[in-house]
Amino acid sequence: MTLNEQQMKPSPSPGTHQPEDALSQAALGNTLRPFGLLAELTYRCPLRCPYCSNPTQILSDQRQPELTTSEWQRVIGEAATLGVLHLLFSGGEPLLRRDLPVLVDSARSIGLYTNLITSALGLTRRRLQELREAGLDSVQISFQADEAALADGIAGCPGAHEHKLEAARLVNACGLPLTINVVLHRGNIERLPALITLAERLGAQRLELASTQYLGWAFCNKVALLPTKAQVQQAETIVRAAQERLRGRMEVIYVWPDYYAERPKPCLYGWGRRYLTITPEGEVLPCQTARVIPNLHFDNVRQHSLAWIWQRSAAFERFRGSHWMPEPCRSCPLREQDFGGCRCQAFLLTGDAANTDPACSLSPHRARLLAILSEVEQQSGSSPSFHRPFAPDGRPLIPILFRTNPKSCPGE
Amino acid sequence: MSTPGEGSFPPPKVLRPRLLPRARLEIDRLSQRPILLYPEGVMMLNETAAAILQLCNGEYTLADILRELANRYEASPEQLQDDVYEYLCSLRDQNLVAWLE
Ligand code: SF4
Ligand code: SF4
Repeated sequence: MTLNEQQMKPSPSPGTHQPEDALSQAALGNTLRPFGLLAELTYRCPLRCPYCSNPTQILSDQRQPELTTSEWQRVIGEAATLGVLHLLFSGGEPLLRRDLPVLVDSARSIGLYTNLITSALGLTRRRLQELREAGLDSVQISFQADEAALADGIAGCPGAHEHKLEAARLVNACGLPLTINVVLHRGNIERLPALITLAERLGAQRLELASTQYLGWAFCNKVALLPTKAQVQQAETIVRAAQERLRGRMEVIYVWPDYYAERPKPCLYGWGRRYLTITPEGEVLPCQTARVIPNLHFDNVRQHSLAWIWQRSAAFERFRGSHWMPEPCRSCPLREQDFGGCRCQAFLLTGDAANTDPACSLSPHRARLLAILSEVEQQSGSSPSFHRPFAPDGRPLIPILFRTNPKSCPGE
Repeated sequence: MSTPGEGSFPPPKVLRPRLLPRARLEIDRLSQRPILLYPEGVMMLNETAAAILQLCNGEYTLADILRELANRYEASPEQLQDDVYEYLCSLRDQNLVAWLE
């Protein structure tokens, strides 16, 4: 899955109430209360999206077995006690875990809002029925494009698109609320009007149009995937018009492309403040891609309680609050609003996760980000190659690195 | 399903507001206060908001709801009407409440 798919790094968009709105009502108390738990049940996935936020090194044989059903059930209970309200079942492809309905039931029976974040491969009528009976609240299906050839090319999986269409119909037919998520990049951003029409046609109640976050596999593919400035501007116009037109019928969320912004995203509403991620093997991360940052030790639910990890783990403490910030963030009036941006992005672009995110125009490392953007403008004539190295008209295409699957599947 | 435009006064009191299935009323475990959960979001509710939403079952009309609230809060339906209507319209805009005919 991608960061965007979970909307874990959401852009505050008018008309939507993100958890932070609840906070400003100062009633959910405790400033260190997690609202959302992203449960990455497995890294296995039938798709190979080149922007996947799963670790780029998941081939190692050193991996631990996936958490068992009872380990997850214990953790879900601990999460609710900590104050978590939303449980996002993700992966990889969470449907590859046969015990998914059992886990949904555990979460739902203690009042959590349960959301399935899926590629839809494996979402059959029977599976859906089981999940519905277990109390699943909502289903989010990712689409790669509006038509099969392009979509299957991006997902690296022939037939995937057709399957998604059928699954979306099934979700609607059984009365579960449907969210459609599309990760936007140079390969599909010009299909935006058709993508919006597709979501309407499929009866989605919510459409997430999420600009790729250049982390994980997406960082490897950034020059191929980044849209040009002109494309981004056009996309914004289209999205705004759709938001206006569809108000009250379909919620349209737009995650803006922070490489083209002046200020960074309020990443996760602050490190170790509102969200946590648990990996298939039980490591607890402040953010899905946090493992990219060197010298952080992540504690595991097999050794500690979730409460202990949330309150005491060094990885969570490292970038909490603002004491760790260098200039220009340290003395910036916006530091409690955007928290200095994304730590993973700061590391990937500057080599030091404590630096100001170069998505901020005040970052002393801004030039690195601008250099990538100018490379993108130079390549703007080529499109990313999801199939072959040349476009039909003979122009060279930029090769894409597809994600790979874990070699062994210890959970099976 | 009809979607009254904002400011289309007087409020269409014959319509029946309904909390959509994507949203769920809960009591927050830590604060013991009512909350509304929906995909990727949470809204804190005060007592009145929770009372309104509990009545948005798609069976009561806006007029029924106003009458019930007026009883509970010792006010007249006319006094409550604008606030309740505005609140429900804002939830409609967020696709959390639908107005049934
Ligand atoms: S490869 Fe699988 S896990 Fe990764 S983004 Fe695509 S669907 Fe999600
Ligand atoms: S300097 Fe730091 S705190 Fe200020 S706007 Fe930029 S990233 Fe945010």
